Amino acid sequence: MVCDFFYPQLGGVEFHIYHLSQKLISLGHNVVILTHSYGKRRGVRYLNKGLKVYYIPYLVLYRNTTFPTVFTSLPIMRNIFIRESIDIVHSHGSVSTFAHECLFHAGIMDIPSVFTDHSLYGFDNIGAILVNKLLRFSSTLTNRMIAVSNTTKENLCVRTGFDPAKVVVIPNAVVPKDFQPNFDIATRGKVRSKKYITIVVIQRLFPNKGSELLTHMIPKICNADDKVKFIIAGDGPKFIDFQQMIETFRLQDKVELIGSVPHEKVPEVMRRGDIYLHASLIEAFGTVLVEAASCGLLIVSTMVGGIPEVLPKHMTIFSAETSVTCLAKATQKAIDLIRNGYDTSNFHQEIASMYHWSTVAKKTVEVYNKVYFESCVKKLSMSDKISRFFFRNSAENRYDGLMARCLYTLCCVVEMLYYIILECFWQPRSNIELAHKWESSSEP
Amino acid sequence: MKQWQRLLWVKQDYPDNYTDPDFLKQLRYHNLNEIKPLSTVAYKTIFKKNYYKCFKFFENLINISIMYIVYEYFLHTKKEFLFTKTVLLIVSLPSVVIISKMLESVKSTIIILFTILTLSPVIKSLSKTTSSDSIYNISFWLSVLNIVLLTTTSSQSKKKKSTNIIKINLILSNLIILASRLSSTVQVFMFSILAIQLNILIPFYFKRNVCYTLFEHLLVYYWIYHTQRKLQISVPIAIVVATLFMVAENLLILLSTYYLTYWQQTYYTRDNLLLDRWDVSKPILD
Repeated sequence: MVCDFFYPQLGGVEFHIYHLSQKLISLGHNVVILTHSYGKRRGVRYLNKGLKVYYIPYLVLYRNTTFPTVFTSLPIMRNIFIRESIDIVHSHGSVSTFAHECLFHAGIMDIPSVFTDHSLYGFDNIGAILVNKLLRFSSTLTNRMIAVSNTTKENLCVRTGFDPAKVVVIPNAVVPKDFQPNFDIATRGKVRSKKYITIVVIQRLFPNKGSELLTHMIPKICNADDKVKFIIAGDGPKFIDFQQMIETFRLQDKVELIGSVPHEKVPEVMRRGDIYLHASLIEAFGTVLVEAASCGLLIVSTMVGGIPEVLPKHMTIFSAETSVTCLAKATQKAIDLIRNGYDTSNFHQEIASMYHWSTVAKKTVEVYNKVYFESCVKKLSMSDKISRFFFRNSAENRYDGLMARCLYTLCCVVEMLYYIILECFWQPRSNIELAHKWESSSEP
Repeated sequence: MKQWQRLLWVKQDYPDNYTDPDFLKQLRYHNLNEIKPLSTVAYKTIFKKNYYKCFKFFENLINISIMYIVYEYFLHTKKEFLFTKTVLLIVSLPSVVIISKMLESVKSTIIILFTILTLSPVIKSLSKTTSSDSIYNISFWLSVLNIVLLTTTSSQSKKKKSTNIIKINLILSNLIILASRLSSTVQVFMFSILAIQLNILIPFYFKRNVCYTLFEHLLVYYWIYHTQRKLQISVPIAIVVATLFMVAENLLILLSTYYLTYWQQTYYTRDNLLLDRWDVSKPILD
């Protein structure tokens, strides 16, 4: 598993990698994670169940993404691939430099590779254009791609020109025991009509998460309904806007702004509410929705990205548009439902049967098996690889101009020469000591 | 077999890499023929918007050109005629409007004038040691950047504010490096005042006035022909040529506007229809 983002940083991608790795280890596989060093955390570390993590010292450029160099990570990554007898490389995240470079190196080293994308990317801003172009280059020799939702699959196919049959949809999951509902949830319905309805919002307070919608909508709801309280958790550049909203509309009694919450405390905050409000303007999957539903909360959400695919209709109330009026209407509908004793006590069990990391791991292993089998049957020669970089394939041709293809090919040739120098002169394979594998039975 | 559903929570008897026939259907359905032509009112609105965009570009170009013309004029003017010529220059440029506006706040105007006067010797000597080639090169790129920024400013107020600061800084940097080539402090002072008037006060503090800008353009073209003594052009002919140039410029603006509108209507709309599904949705704050 390769990604720039991993523990000690916490987030959706990091948890995905961690939980998937743990389940793969439980299934008897050996998993090694490659990431860049985080402060003093560098070198090799072991996590739960002998999950080995290489924290490679590397220059961090922006928001924990390393400096992109294309070739310079080859010696260390090749060394680790050989040392750990890596059979499959699995990269995560389009904005991770490590992920891109690893895909490229693995392709040149004849190691089958898989790429998982966790986000949606547009086509009309310079950042997205660069990321898309980079992904088109680095995924040239990639065997399979994994998307977290059908929307992400479409997005990936358009961005990379990848054959849809080679893109697999495997959704994220939750750990149900971490997201337990309130034990008195079944009885709460009866007394709800008398007490306050609490609406929870847990998100990073960024413009793309719909913070503007919330700051306009919350005063409306509070004005229309006296018995509603809001709990807003999270931090970000829009935090001040929320503070100003509270002061302007004098909502100190009704809106509780608690700032950033550690991940382990998230279920606690969720359990304090009845409704989870999600105003995001873009979302590939929306793990937080599944987590909130698992805590027994009724979901109110916008219908952007992959959100409509994630939860059944009886758990969600959708806002048809990303407008304040629509979202306010949906929220009001949810409040009325809860007041009338809408039963959410089964949500936890339902979610537990729908999304589980074991299923994700099993599906991922199926992909690995296919990829491994394919690579054993058909190995690409050097000339094949060069022609793949230059000619692409017919479906993709229209996306890449001559200049880009020449540049891709040049990079491929340089990488091959570098690889040959490493193999023959600098770090011959025979000089690299093989690492001992962690015994899966000897759990710490 | 049950029909495939586009839902992640339903366990289905299909492989994970199953691709539905509806896959990317929306993308395939949108094509050039299906885009409806705009209504006359909508077309007029877009056309008008684009006309102002193009007009703004030329306006910025002309404003910066005037700065260079004045600069060139100062470089080759003898000291004894400097003062009278500069006064004439200020009057001839439609800066009367600016001065009258500035007189509304006499105090700040005096402060600005004296600050520039005091700083003139400093500005003059600041990049004295740099070679002229480098100065003109840097000045050229600063101007290009400035025109690009001025033309592409977003209509969002917050962004506009930050871009304005960058633009003012670019103009001032340009002014400072160019001033080092001038021979006297008075020249630096006059040049600074004019450059600030043209590139900061006029574009930022006064509403866009087409007639005024056209007059300004006419003046610039006239100036170009009149100062070219080698061409031996008399004043009436220079005026006629300048007018012709102004008309040609306006035709060019109209042509660019027409092309921009056509492009927006066809390719840009199509691409947006195809690809906006994955962009961040716009919040509607009704």
